[in-house]
Parts: sequence; C-alpha cells; structure tokens
Amino acid sequence: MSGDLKLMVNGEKYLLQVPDHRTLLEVLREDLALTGTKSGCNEGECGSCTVLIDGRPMNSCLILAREVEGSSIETIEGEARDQQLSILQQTFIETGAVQCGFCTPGMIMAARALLDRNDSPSVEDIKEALAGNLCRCTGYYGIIEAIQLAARRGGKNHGQ
Amino acid sequence: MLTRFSYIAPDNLEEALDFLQENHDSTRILAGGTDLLVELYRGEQVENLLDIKKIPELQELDENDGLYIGAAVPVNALLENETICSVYPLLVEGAETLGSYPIRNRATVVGNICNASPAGDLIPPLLVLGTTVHCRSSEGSREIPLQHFFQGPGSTVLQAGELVAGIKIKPHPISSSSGYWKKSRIKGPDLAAVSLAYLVDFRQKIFDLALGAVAPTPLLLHLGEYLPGLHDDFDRNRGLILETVEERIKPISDLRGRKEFRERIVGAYLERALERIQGGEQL
Repeated sequence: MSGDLKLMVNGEKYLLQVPDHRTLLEVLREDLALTGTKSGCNEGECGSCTVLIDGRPMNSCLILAREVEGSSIETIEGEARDQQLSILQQTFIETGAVQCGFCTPGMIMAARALLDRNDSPSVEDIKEALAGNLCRCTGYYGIIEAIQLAARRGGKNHGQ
Repeated sequence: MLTRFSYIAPDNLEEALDFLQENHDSTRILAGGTDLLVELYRGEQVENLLDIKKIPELQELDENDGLYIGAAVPVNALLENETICSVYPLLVEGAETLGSYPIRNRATVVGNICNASPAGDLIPPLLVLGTTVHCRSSEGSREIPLQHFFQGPGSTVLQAGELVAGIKIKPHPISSSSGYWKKSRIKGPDLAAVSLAYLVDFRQKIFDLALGAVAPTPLLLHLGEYLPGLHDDFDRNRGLILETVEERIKPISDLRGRKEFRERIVGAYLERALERIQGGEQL
C-alpha cells in the first residue's frame, strides 16, 4: 500500500506518493535526492540521520515517511542560505569539528535544535544534546567548541 | 529497507479499536516506533502497523489530581512540563536516562511499558509512584496495576484486540523520600544493567522499592514493615531488607553485566537508598 504525502522540506512544498514501508530517511535521500542526511546504523544509535521535524531533532531512520504527513522538515541542505554557510557550519570548519564528515550533518542538525531552545548552552548542555550523535574521528572537543563559538556569534540565527 | 506492510493512522479511538479487534493477529501498534522499527529492520514481519499518534484522546497529558499520560505522549513532554518536573522528580530522573534527546522526542512513555523490557527506564519510577494501566478494546476498558501488567521479557497481560490508552499515576505523597539509580555500561544512552527506584511516604508508612533488569519482569517490593525498624535499629533492619531483596531478584549474565555484578550493584544502590531514608527528617 501507499499514500499521498504532503511535506514541507527546507521551506519547499512536496506532494509525493510514498509506499507505506518507506522511512523518512529513504524518501529524503532517494526520492528527493537530499543525500546530506546520512544513513548509518538504522537503529537510532548513531544520529547521522538526524533531521528536524517541526523544529525537533529526530532520527529519520526510525520514522515512516507517512507518519510525518503535513510536517515541516529541515535537513542539512537547508542550513546554508543564499550560498552562505550558516554560522554553525562556519564554526564547525574553523574549530576542526569536521574530519571524515559523515556525522557532521546529524551533528549540525542536533546543534541547530539545541541553539533554537538554548542560545547560550553550557558544555554539559551540549554533551546532553549530542549524546545521540556518534563521531569516530574528532573526539568531540572540536564539535563542542564549534557550538560554543556559534552561540557566541549569535548562531541561533542562520546568517553571518 | 523494511519489508512491506500497510500503514493505518486513524484519527479516532473507536476506529482504531475496531481495526485492532478485526486484525489483531496481523497488527502491531506504532507509537514512537523507536523499538518497533528496529525490530522490523531485523526482519520481524508484520502486515499492518496501526499508528495511534493521530488520536486526540491518546495525546492527553493531565497533571491535575495525579498524572494521566496518554499513549501517544513522548518522553520529552514530561521533561518540558514544569508541574511534572517539580512534583514528580523520580519520573524526571527516569525519563532523562531514556535514550538520547532525539529518541525522547519520539519514544513514548506508554511504549516503554508496553515493550515490557525488564530494563525499561521508566518502569521502576512508575512502579513506586503507583501506576495504573488504562486498557481499551472495542468491547470495553479495564484498569491494571502496573506491577501486574508484565508477564516476562516482551510479554504483557494485554489481550487480543486490546491496547493501552494511557496510564494514571497517583498524586505524589508530600512527606516523602525518593531516589533512582541506573547502572549502564557508558555514561551516554544505554540500556540499564541494573536500575532501582524507591519511594517512601513517611505519613502513610509506605516504603516501595522497584528494580529493573534483575528478573524476567521489573519487580515491585513493599518494604513498609521495615520502616519503623530502620529508625530503631538501622543495621539489623538494613540486613533484613537486603535479605528480602536478594531472595526476590534473579539476575542473569549477559552483555550488560554478569549475574554477580548485578547482585553487587543492587546491594550498593540499596545501601544508598537506606542511608538517604535514614537521613529523612520524619522517619
């Protein structure tokens, strides 16, 4: 079985026909070609598939596309605006928070949601918010630093 | 990729219950999906997924006269509710240890119960707080005390065609002492190797202790009879309580810890609880 699916992704409206068993992650990557969101563990452990659904970070591998009918989705592709990296993206580069880069889209989406609810997070707040995102390269300190730096630069807003 | 199934998402409870009654053999209930989808990835077959999140009465969260939590309420809704955070600290402690922030945006409180894991993070706090499970089917409703809801790992007393509409928690005692501890392998998101919650109501002389991951089902022990003795002869009654608890637990060895490790952790957590209770001003 399949059904109509109305979605807003990064501010653009989509009307799709989606088989019932397809996950949001598969629809984003395979139907909409938004491959910035990564497919990692498919168990909700690694966080590389993190996207924002109506502003909240969630693991898109554990959600059926049809469950989010009518929702607004934000992915890493929506972070940069008008060819300009967001403050968060910029600080991730500056602090060396990116090595292989596989976890980065999920990290940035989790960080985006954190800054939306707390514009000056402590190190503990950041660790708690990122506890569902694994990074096997950086040792996390660059990532924590990037988020703190973004907060100081007003990273709650996207712009430079 | 998941194998094919049909997705049904009714927006009223009667329709959901009728569907479940007619298709109970081939249907799994989808709430947060944080455990169910993992099972499906691992090859579990299902014909129908019945999504209950669009049913308004299952989205209810009411903190007047105790606490009512509908089956579609995600765990983070507890942590974002100021009344719950101030009145039910034990529930908050359990909720904070459940998965990661994105998981808690999705995973439901009732799902943690229905999954019936002996290690379910919210179960020990809910057991000592006094929780009743509100079950519905197309034929009627029934209330089940949470301690009688579990049959074994992954198994509950829910019957064919029945679902949990919500849970009801008693008003929190005013003169109380409580605590929750969870031992897991890492500091971040992980299942419990052992979890322990306790609640003492000094006025009613109630001392309830709940243990997770040390038996086929979560355990609830009533230890109120030892409460006066803890004041008169702490060491003797501590010994009696430890013996009572040791008799009831049946831990296994698995990847999260050996049997002997679990026994030691239970003992250590219990010591902490008893010392805290002894320090309680109204003992």
